[in-house]
Amino acid sequence: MSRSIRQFSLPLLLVLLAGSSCDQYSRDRDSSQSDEFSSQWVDSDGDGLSDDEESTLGTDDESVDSDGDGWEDGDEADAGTDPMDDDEHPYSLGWGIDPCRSDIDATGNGVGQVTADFELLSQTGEMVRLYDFCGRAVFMVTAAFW
Amino acid sequence: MVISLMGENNSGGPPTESDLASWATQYGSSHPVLADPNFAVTARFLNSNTIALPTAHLLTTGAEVVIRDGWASNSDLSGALP
Repeated sequence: MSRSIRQFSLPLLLVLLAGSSCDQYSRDRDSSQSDEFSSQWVDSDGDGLSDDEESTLGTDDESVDSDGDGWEDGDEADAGTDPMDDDEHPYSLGWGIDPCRSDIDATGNGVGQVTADFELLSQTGEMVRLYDFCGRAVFMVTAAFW
Repeated sequence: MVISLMGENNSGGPPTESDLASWATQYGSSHPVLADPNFAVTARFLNSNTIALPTAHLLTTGAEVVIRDGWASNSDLSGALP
């Protein structure tokens, strides 16, 4: 019987200590929590952006999709699109858009030159622009169905 | 990023969205599979007037051409990465 008590008393003690520690941490955090700390970490609308980030981007911290384009603000920010522009959003299969796309000047198609942009129909029915992927290496394979 | 450029469908015509979707599903492609009717975009990278398929083109960041109308080794690919 006494052996049984010893076996369970240590885990029980640890749980009690942990609980006590958490309570103490919670009290300390509550007492020192400022509005700045709160907005930095709180995501009121649950869209993946903190209220602080929403303030910086100009998005609505009470709306998951500030521009109403069907993409949540956090997903747009991750993909590099403007969550306040309903004409701009990631591709439907999640291919992100790189911010450099407006800063490229084509110089030619030779090795070492910058090729011109193109926009082609994709398997999703969307038109896909080459320059949307300007921040990464692009390996293009040309083939035919036959 | 990998992009497939499809020049013609099985009938020799321009690939439709349905053609592209079927291809992507068949091969499990989640990357862009794009129609390049009459190989118009591919033509800018060709080294001659003939097309040998498949052929590949490698761009580094900023759409700078590294390889045109050829193939890429593992070291080519890793060298092009940002």
